[in-house]
Amino acid sequence: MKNSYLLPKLFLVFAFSAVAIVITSCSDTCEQTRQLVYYQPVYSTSAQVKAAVKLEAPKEMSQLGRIYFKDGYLFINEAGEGIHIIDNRNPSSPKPISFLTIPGNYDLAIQGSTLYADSYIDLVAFDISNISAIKEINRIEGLFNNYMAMGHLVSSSNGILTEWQRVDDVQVYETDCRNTYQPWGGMYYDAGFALTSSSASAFSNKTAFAPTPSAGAGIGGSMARFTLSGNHLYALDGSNLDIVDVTNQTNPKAKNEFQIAWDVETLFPYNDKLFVGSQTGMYILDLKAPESPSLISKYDHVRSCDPVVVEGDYAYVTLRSGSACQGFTNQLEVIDIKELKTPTIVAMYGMTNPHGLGIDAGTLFICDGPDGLKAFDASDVKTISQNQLAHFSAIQALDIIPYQNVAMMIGTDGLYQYDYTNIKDIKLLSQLPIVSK
Amino acid sequence: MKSVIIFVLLGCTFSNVFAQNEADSIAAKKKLEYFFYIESGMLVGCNECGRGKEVTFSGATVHGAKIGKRTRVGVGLGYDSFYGWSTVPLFGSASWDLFAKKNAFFLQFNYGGTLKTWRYTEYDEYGYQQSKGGRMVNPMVGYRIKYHDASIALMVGYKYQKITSTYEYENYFWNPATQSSVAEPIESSEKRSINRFMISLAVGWK
Repeated sequence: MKNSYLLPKLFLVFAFSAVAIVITSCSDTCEQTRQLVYYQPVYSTSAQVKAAVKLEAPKEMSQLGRIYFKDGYLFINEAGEGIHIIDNRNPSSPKPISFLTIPGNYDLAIQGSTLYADSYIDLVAFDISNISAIKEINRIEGLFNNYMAMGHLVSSSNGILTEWQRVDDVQVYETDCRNTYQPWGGMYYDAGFALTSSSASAFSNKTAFAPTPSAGAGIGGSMARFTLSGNHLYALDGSNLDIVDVTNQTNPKAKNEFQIAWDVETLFPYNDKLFVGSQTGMYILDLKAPESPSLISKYDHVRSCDPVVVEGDYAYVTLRSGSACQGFTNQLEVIDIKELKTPTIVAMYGMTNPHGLGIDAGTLFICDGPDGLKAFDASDVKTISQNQLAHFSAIQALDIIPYQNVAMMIGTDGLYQYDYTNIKDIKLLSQLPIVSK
Repeated sequence: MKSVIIFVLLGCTFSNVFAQNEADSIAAKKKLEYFFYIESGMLVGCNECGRGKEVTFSGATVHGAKIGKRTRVGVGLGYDSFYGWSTVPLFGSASWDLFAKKNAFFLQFNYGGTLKTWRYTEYDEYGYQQSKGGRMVNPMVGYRIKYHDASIALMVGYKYQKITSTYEYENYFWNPATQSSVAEPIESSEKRSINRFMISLAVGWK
C-alpha cells in the first residue's frame, strides 16, 4: 500500500526537477557553414624577386600595359611580367627582339641608356646601351611604399607580396545564433580576402597587383604613371609622387615624396610643368624646383578616368566611364592653360569610351576604346569634332604615342602603327598581334 | 524527413503487428482502441536570450491506437511557433502509462520532421533566403484524467526542433587596383537547434 503512494510522489519530484532544469536552459544553439574562396597572400623575398629578372627570347604579347618609345625601339609592358623589346626602326616591320622579365612590372621610363622600371616595391635601373645584352645595374629597394594589392597595404616585414594563392574554404563554427555578417556584407581576413566561387573565377593576379588604370627621355603614352622631366624621374605611388634624381643615370637616388591625391592616375610632363590626371580633375604642378614640386592649380571635372596630354596653350583631357572609372561621362575636354592658375575649359566633344590620347603638331589622336582610333586636326580647338582626319574602327584602342610621323598605338589585340606624314591620308603601317592566353 | 516516415511507419506497423498477434483473442481485440487528442500549449525558451525568455504557441493533434491498458501509439500533426519561425511538424507518437489506473501519469515520446517552415518577414535578417525544417524531438510527461471516454491531460516536457536557414550576402569588396567593387554574394547556411520547455493541455477521446 505504501509503495503505491510512494511511486507517484517520486515521479512528481523527478518531473518537477527535470522541468526546473529544462526551463532554465532552453535556448537556441547554431552552427554556421560558410563556403567561399579565400585568397591568401604569398610573399617572396627580395632575393627571389631579383633572381627572376632576366633577358629572354621574345615572348608572345598577351596583356599589354604601358608603351614607351626610345631611339627606334619600342618598350611595351606585359602587365606584371616585364617588357617586350621591339626593334621599330622600320615601323612597317617591327621585330620583337627580346623580353625583359621583371616580376611585378607595370611601368617604365628611359633616360639616355638607362631604363627605369618598377618591380613590386622596387625601382630597378637597367643598362640598355647594348639592346641585346640588357642588364640590371641598380635598384632602389622599397621605393614604392604605397604599393597596394587588393586593398592591403603591403608591409615589407613579411617580404614582397607577389601572388594571391587560392584556397577553397569551408568554415563551420558554433555561434550565438545572431547574424554575424555586417549588413554591408563582405568579409576581410587578417591575412587576405574572400570571394565567392563566381568572383574567384574572374580573379586575376595581374589585375590585383596593377596600379590604378592608366611610358629621354623617351616618349611615353598618355596613360603613364612614370615620366621623366629634366634629370628627375617622377613616379606615381598610390596617392604620392615619388621623385628620383637620375642625374647620374646609373645611380638613381630617391629624393622626395610629394602627396597629391588619392585618385591620381597619369603623368604628363610639359616644359617645367607636370600635368597629373586624376579621377576628379587635372592637377598642374610646377617643377621649377624639381625635387619640391608645388601645386599651381587644379581643374575639376566629373568623376571618371582622365589621361591628359598638353601642347601649346591647351591641355587635352579625355574622360571615360566604366566600372574601373565610375562616372557616366565619355568626352574630350580642351582646357586653356595660358593662365596656369586658372585653367578654363574651352570646348568639349562627345566620345564613345576614350582611353589614351596623343598630340603631335596639332594632330590629335584619340584611342576611343571600342570605337577605335580617331585622328583630328586640333589647330582650332573649338572645331575639333568637325575636323576628323581619320577613323580606324573595329579595334579596341587603348593608348598611343604619335612621334615623328609614326603613331604607335596599343590595342587590346596588339600593336598598331600608322604613318601620318600626310595627315589627310593616315595609313596603317603594321600590326603585331597579341596572343590570348 | 526520412526518419520521420520510418518512425511513423514503425508506429503503425507496431500497432498492426500487435493487433495481428492478438487477432486470435477476442478479449485482446477489445483492448485495441482508437484514441485521439488535441493539445494546445506554450513553448518557453529563448532565441536571443538577451531579450529574456520567449513564450510562443504550440498545438497538435494525435490519432492512434491504444494497445492494452497502458500503451498508445499514433501519428500527429502540429503547429509550433518560435521567435521568427513557424513549423508544421509531422510526427510519430508513443506513450506509456506509468500506472494502469483510470487517471494516470504517463510518459510520451514524439519524434518527427517538419512538413512546412515559415520565416516571419519582420524577422528577416540581412541576406535571408529561405528556411527548411528538420528533426523534431519531443519527450513529455503528463497526467491524464478520464471521464467516461473523454480525457484531459496536462503535459510538460522538452521540444527540440532543427531549422536550417540559408543566407546570401553581397560582398562589396573595394579593389583599389581596378577601382571597382566585387558584388557577388557569399552564401552561408545556419543550422539552428531550437530547445524549448513545453507545457500543454490536451483534451481527447479514450
